[in-house]
Amino acid sequence: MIVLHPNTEQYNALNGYRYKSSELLFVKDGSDRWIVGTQVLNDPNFAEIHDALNKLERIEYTPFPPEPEE
Amino acid sequence: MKLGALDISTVKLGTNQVQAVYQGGNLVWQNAPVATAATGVGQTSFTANWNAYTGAVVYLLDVSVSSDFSTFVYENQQVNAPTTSYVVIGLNPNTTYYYRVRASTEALTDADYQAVLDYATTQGYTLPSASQQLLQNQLVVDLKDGGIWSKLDTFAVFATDGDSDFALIDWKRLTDYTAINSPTFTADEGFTGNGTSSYISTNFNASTSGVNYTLDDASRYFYLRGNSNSNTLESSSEDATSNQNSVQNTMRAVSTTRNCRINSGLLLAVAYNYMTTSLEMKSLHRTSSTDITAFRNTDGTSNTMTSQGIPNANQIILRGGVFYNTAQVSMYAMGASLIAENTDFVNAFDTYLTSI
Repeated sequence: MIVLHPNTEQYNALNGYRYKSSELLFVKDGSDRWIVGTQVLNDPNFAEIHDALNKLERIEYTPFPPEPEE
Repeated sequence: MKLGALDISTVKLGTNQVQAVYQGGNLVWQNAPVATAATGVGQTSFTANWNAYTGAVVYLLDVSVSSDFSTFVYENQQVNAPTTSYVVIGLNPNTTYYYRVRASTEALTDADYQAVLDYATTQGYTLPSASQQLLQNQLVVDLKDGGIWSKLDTFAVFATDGDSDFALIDWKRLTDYTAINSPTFTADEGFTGNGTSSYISTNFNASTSGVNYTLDDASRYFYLRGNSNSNTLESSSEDATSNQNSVQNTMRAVSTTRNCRINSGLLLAVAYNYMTTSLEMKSLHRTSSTDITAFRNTDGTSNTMTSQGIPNANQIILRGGVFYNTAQVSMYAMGASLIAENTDFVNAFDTYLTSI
C-alpha cells in the first residue's frame, strides 16, 4: 500500500495542520517512518495544503505485526 | 410531531393559466390545510397559497414536477403559521408544478436538535437535507422519549447527507469530533478508516469531562457498518505501548476477542463471539464495580470485569495504539449505562438509518 512520507522540513510545515473538523497528524509505520495515507489528497478541508501534500514522497507502507489477540 | 393532511394544487408557469385541483377524496389524513390556487404566476415563480389550519404552528410545503411527488423542487419547506402563502422561485417556464401543504400543530424542531443546526450554521457547515433534518429531529425526540438522551455525554451521527464537518458534530456537547488524516466520508453511511493512519478523535475525555459516564455506571456505543479488519475499533489509547494491560476502554473486532474493556485493565473472563458482524450496534455497559454487559444490537451477554479507573485520554475511533481499523462507523456515543434503554436506542437508530 502506498502512503505519503514527509522529510523533516515537510513534517514541520504540515504536521498539525487543521481546517474545520479535519487535522493532519503524521503517524509511524512499522519501519518507524512518519507517514500518512493518500486519502488526505482528497480531503476538501486540506485544499489549502494539497500541493504540499502532493509533493510528499510516496513509499510502500510497512505494516506492524498483527495486533495480539487477547 | 402531528401533521395535518395535504391537498394538491397545480400551477403551470409561463401561461398565466393556473389550475388548482382539489383531491380531497384521496386524502389519507383529515382536516388538511387545503392548498388553493396559486397566484402571482410568473416565468420562474409563483405564490403557493393554502387555507389556514386551526392550531397549526408551522406548515410544510412540497413542490414537485410530478403529481406523485416522487421528486422534489422544494421539500418540507417550513412556513411558520399564521402565514398561509409562500413565494416559490427559481422555476422553469412552461412547466407544470404541483404543490402540497401539511400542517404541524407542534414545533417541528426539538430545541436540542435546533441547537445542533444552529451550531452547524454558525460554523459554516453544510446542513443535511430538509427531509433528513426531520428524521434527525425525530431521532432526538425518540432518544428523549426513551430516556436515553439525558444519559449521554457525547453523541455523533456520522450517517448524514450533511457534509463531513456536520457529521462530526457532537450533538450533546455542541463541539466537534476531529477527523484525523482523512477517514473517508460517505454520505448517509459514515466514516471509513484506511487501516494505516486515519481515525477520529471524539475530543471527549471521560475522566475529566464525563458527567453521566462514571466509573461504575458507563456505556459506549459503536455502530459498525462494515469492512472491519481484526484491529481495535475504538479505544482510549493513541499510545502504542499502553494498548494492553493498562486501564482501557476498547472494543475489538475479532470473533474470539476478550479485548473489550470498560474502565478496566483486565480482560473479559470469557471470550465473546461479539464483534464480527457488521450493520450492527455494538455497546458495552458497566452497571457496577464488577458487572458488565456487551450487546450486539439487543442481544446482551453479561459478565464480570472489575472496574479500575476511567482512562484519562480522549476516546478515539478506528484506532488503538499503532493499529488502525478499516471499518465504517455510522454513529458513536458514550454515557451512563443504558441496559434498560438499549432496545429503544437500537430501534431509534435503526429507524433513522433505514429512513435516510
